[in-house]
Amino acid sequence: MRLPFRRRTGLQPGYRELLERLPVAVYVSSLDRTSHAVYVSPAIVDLLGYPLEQWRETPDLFERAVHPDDRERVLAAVAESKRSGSGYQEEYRMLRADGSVVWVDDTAATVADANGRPSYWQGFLVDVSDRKEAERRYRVLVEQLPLITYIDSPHTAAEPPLYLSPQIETILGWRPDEWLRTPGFFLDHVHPDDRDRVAQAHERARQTGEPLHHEYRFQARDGRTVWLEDMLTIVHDDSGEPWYSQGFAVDVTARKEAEADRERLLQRLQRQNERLRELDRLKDEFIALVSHELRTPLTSIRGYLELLGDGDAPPDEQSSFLQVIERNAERLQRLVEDLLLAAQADADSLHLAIEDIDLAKLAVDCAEASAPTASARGISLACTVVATPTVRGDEGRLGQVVDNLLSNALKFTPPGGGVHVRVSESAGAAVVEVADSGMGIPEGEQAELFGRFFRTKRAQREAVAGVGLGLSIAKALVEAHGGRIDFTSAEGEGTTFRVHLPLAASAAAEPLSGAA
Amino acid sequence: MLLAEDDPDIRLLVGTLLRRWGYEVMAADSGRDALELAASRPPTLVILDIGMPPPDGIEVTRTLKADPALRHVPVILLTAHAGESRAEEGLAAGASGYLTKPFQSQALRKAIWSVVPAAVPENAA
Repeated sequence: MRLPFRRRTGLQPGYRELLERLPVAVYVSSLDRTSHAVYVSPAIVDLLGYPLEQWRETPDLFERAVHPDDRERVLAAVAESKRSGSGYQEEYRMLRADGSVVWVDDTAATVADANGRPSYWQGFLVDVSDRKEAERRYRVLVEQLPLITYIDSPHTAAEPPLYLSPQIETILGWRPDEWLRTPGFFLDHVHPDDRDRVAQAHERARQTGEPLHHEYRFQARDGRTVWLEDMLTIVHDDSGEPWYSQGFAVDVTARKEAEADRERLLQRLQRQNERLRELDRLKDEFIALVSHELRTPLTSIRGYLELLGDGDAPPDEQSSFLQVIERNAERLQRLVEDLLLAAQADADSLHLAIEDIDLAKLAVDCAEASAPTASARGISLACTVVATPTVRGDEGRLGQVVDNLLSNALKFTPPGGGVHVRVSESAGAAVVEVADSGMGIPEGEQAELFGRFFRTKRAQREAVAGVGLGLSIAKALVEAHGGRIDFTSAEGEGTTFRVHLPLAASAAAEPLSGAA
Repeated sequence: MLLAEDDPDIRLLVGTLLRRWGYEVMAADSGRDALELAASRPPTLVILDIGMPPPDGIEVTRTLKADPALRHVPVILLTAHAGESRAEEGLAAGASGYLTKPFQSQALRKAIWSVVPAAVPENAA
């Protein structure tokens, strides 16, 4: 038994033709008998494939036609509408008669009876499969990009985003759902050092509506720090008001680390450059110094040879000229040897002819050799032998060490002063001491004293001869013998150098280091 | 003529040459002594080593050229430095010329003649 159209639908019969020509499936159903359509327009046949009669005859056809995955949600919305008396709007999937799936937009309003009580729904179903498919394609595309896509409310930073693409889990370890349900999650996990800057940038973007492009560090779930490059755009509605913001963030940690590496490399290169410039400067100074030290004895050698060549000089003058030439030739030879020795020490190729050496005799011999220079400068030179230790070493090289120390002592001690050589044994080592009552070494220059080509400011100022090799050579030679050299100095009072060498017995037990 | 040179062998060498050529020589081994000697007895010519205990040859040149009584006295510098920057500095300070060590006696003689062409050796033989 069927009621007339008007009774069933509450509509004037004149509308029926209109309804049935619409390309949407119109329906009327009772609130009391949920699943039973009172009226269904023929468009439903095109939409779902079931014949019209089936809709009238099968009370639960609607329920069965809703896709099982969406059924619970749809029935809940329908129940809520029935309870509240207001309409509903849902998008869900339906199964067609042939088993295929169609996305529908179901919009229904409730209609009240004569007593004002909601009694049935008037609604329509629209096929939205095309739109849903397009949406799905975009979503699949967005969710397979190697970056985090997000959609945000443009109004406040504290609100969780509206959408976060699932890549966030691969990139940061956080699941979208734990993020989406926690207000303030984003800023709380920005690196503390970047947080204020990021918050300010977001605030500015919200206020100006301008796009934002920035980089910051973010804490991943496992505690890693990830660098994100984030580009955000504010989307405006047709009236120009901010609508929502959307953007994407890329993991740029690898690039950032490469940049940091490059920066470190650059700094190292700069330091190397500075060091090279410094070496260049030292080289220039060295050339100037060596040039001076070579030219000075050469001047005497050539000059006196010329004087001798004239044949004008009386015999006694001739022999003193020859002595001058001899002295300057020696000076020249010493400089050349020092330079070679320094180069060998640099290359770690000092050759030592090792034998047992009476250190006291060696020191006394050196002191005697320096006696003429000392007396010429008016300096008293003394030598004390407290012990006569035997050491293993190269006699010539160790003599050179003592000579260098003596030469310095005599150079930097004023006339009337004294230089004292002392040989002793202390703590199982042989010790040679060369003490002077000279100008002393300023504290600020003591650390550099053994440096190659180092000369004190005072030595430079007062044009004291020398290239700054003596002490560096002495140190290299002493160390090649397994010993060490140190000094104490007080400005204006004098300096004492001490050479400590292993005794022959202990040296035999412990091979000399560096004695190649 | 005044000679200031800190290396004793070179001082004696140049002094011997100058005396052989008939000049009377006052010798100093530092800039300080050189200035004292120049003030006590103004020389005809000054020969200064650049690298000597202070004041060095260039500073001595400046001091001489700033002294109204001595600024007319020509100065010849001796240098053992590599390069010419120190010598150029000396010329800028007012020196008339310079010789780079080692030098031949003829070069020194020519340098002297070029700045004191009219000079007659003070005790010419």
